[in-house]
Amino acid sequence: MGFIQIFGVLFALFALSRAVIRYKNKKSTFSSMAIWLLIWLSVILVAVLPQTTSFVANLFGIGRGVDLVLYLSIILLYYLIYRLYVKMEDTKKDLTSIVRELALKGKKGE
Amino acid sequence: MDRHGPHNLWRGAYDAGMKKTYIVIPAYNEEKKIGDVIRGLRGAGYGNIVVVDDGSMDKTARVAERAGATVLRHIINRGQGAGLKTGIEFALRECADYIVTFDADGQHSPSSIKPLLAALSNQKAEVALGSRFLTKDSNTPFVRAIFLRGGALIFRLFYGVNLTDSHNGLRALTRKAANSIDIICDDMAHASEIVEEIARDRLKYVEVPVTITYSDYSKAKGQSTLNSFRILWRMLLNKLLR
Repeated sequence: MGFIQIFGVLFALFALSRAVIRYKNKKSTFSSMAIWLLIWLSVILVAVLPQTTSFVANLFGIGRGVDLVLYLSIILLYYLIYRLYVKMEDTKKDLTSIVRELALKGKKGE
Repeated sequence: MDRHGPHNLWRGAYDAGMKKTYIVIPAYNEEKKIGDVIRGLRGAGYGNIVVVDDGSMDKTARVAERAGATVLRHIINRGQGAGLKTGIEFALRECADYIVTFDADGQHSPSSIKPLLAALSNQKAEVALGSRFLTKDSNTPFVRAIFLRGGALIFRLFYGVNLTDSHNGLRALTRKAANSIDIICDDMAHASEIVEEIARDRLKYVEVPVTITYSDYSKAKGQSTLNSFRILWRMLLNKLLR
C-alpha cells in the first residue's frame, strides 16, 4: 500500500468516527449519518482497492476509474456553483428588501 | 428655466389634469447635480419629487432635501434598479396616478415630461418610454448610439417589443403599469426588465421623443458601453432561470 492509500484510509476512518459521534450526541439524524458512513466507507474501498473504480467506470463506458471520479467531481462542482449563485441572488434580494423597508419606514406618515 | 417660459411649464403639470404625478429619481453620489435637477423640476410645476439616495457617500440626501424633494435613504448601495423600485413603491403608497422616472445626473430635461404624461392621459398607453432617437436634439455619442440601437433590436427579438431606444431612464407609468411591473434586478438591467414586463403583462406602450443632453459629467457617471454585455448576460440568465 502506498502512502496516499494509508493516508486516505486513516482520514476516512477519522471522518467516519466524527459522523458516528455526532449521531451518538444526537447532533445529526440517522439518515444523514448513514449517508456520510456510505461516503467514507466507499472512500476506504477506493483507497484500498483502486481497481474497483475502473470496474464502475467501465460500466459507464469510461476507460479509467480516475477519469470517472474527475468527471463526477466537475459535474458536482458546477452544480454547487449554480446552487451558490442562486443562494447569493436570493440573499442579495433579501438584503435589498430590508434596505427598501428601512427607507420606506423612515418616511411613513408624511 | 427662462428658456421655456414659466407659463408653458406650469401647464405641463396642469395638463395632466388633477392627476397626482410623482417624479422618482434614483441617485448615487450626485450632490453636484441633484440640486439643479430638483429645482428644474419644481420650476416646471412638479411638486412631488422623490429622490432615492442609494447609499451615497456624499451629501446627495442633504442637497436633495434642501432643494425640496422627499428623500428616501438606502442605508447601503443596492443599485439603480433597487432605487427605482423603492421610489415607485413610495409613490404608489402615496396614491400617485402617474409615476415618472428621471435621471439624477442632469441628462434629462423637465420639459420632456409633459409629452410623456400626455401620452398616458389621453389613454394611448400605460407606459410612455422616452426615446432619444426620435428627436434630432439629443447629442448621443456615436458608439453609445450603436449599442443602444443594438439593444433595441435585441428587445425586438427577445420580447417582440418595438422600440428605437433601449436604455432610457426617462419614462412615465400609470398606476396600473407601476403596480404590475416588478423590478427584480437591482442593477442597471432594470431597463431591459421593464421592457420584459411590458411584453409579459401586455401593457400598452408608446415611445415619446425626449432630449438627452450628454455632458462630460453624465458620460462619466453613466454606464459604460461595456456594461451592455453584462446587461445582455443578465437578460439571458433571466430568460433561462424563470
